[in-house]
Amino acid sequence: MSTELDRLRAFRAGDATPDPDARAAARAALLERIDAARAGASARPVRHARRRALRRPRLLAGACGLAAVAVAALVLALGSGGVAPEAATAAQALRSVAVVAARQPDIALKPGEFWYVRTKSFQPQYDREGWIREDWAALDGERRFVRRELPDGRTEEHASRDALTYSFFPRPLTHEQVLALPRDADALYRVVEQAGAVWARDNGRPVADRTHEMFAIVGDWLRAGPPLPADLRAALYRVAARLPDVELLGDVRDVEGRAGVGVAQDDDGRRRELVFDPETSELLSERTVDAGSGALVYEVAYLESGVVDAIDARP
Amino acid sequence: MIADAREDPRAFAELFDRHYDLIAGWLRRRVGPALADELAAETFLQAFDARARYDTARADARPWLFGIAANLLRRHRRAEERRLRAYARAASRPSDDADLAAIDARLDAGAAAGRLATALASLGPGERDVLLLHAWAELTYQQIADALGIPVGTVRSRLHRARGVVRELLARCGEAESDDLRAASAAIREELR
Repeated sequence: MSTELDRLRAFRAGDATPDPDARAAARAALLERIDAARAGASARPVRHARRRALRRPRLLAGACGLAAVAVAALVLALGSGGVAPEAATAAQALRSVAVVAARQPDIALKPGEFWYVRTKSFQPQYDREGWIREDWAALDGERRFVRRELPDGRTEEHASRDALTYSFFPRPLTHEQVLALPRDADALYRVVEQAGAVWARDNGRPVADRTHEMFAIVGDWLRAGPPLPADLRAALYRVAARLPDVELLGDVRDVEGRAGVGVAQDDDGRRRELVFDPETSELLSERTVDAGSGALVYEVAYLESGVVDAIDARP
Repeated sequence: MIADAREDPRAFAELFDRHYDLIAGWLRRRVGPALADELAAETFLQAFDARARYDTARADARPWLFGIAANLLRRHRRAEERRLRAYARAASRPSDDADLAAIDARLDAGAAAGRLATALASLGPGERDVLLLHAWAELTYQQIADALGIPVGTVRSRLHRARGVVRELLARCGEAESDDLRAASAAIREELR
């Protein structure tokens, strides 16, 4: 009995044969562009110059973020807040964020209401300014998103209605099942550990790599909407505080220039960074950085979220 | 190779030679030959223009190229969905071929292919990108995350949901639809007899 993936792999496989004439034409077009570049007449010089000019302040902000790592503990102390000034390790910072998280009010989404999230994603390797995406999701699974390419590019929309679930293994959890998860950090750790082990196996990795999957799972759950209860978010931060090989990045600036507390874990050539607002415990940004070169691969920044009455309404 | 291309743009042609068939083949399966060939050519032009931004520490350029191709495809989402629905309709239509031995098998295969097309058309564009980068381009979860600029957890949840939709529709096909088709096949046999 073949799986759905086997069926899919065979589906229209014959269509994949390339056409030699199209290939030759594409190659000729590329060589023409290459020759133009060699002659110093790039096809779109003006556009590139403008884009680079726009991006420069961001790169500087990134450099500041890196320089600030050395004085992270001091910066955290100045952050008015939530995070203990003595946080010198990721575990300490995450435990402090957990304390802040536990103090936040619960946001309970009611039937007929929508959880709104606005995000910005950015992939420097594509020479793009990024995208703004707005999502609306209701408890009954009704949802819609609008995605807009920056600075003023095309828009894409999609609406759907299906069961609201949270990424988990071996099967997704419903919102009710997530609400029933343990708040005790030991018990929650074991739940996340089991999921991490199954994810690792699913990814063809040794079970020993489960702690890397667990770090990703914590990120998934913090990102997922509608919002989790404050005590569950606090417990998730405590789970993250126990994971090995998580390092404190200190004061990190996201793509929007917002400062937060960053923690990171290296995995398979990538460094996955989570950046939190120390005053609210909210996830500000997720970044993936090439562990070898330190180059940013992509970043997703969470700009705004809240409860609204209707799709297309904003907080 | 891409590092070389910064010094000598001609080295970029080697990237084309190595990856064109893969990119063009993936696009052809998604949107058909005419549009795919145009998008494949544009993928390499955009890659060349953006070469200075590519992180040369990375050995495998495929996620980068597929990311450009997937972004170009986003403009043609409706064309892709129309094509999938047309395919689904055609696949479920009984053939007038009189080769009796082939009828059952073809109807079963046609029903499954039609269901696959229906499932792919019903997915959100992000889910379809993730599923087809996994199934057809054989990228790893991390490579898909790099290509689409989304967290790896989002790749997994989209893939999980997309596989669930496909599995569900194929299962329905096996239980209900192909019973209908077998009945249709039996009726055709009777008519031909």
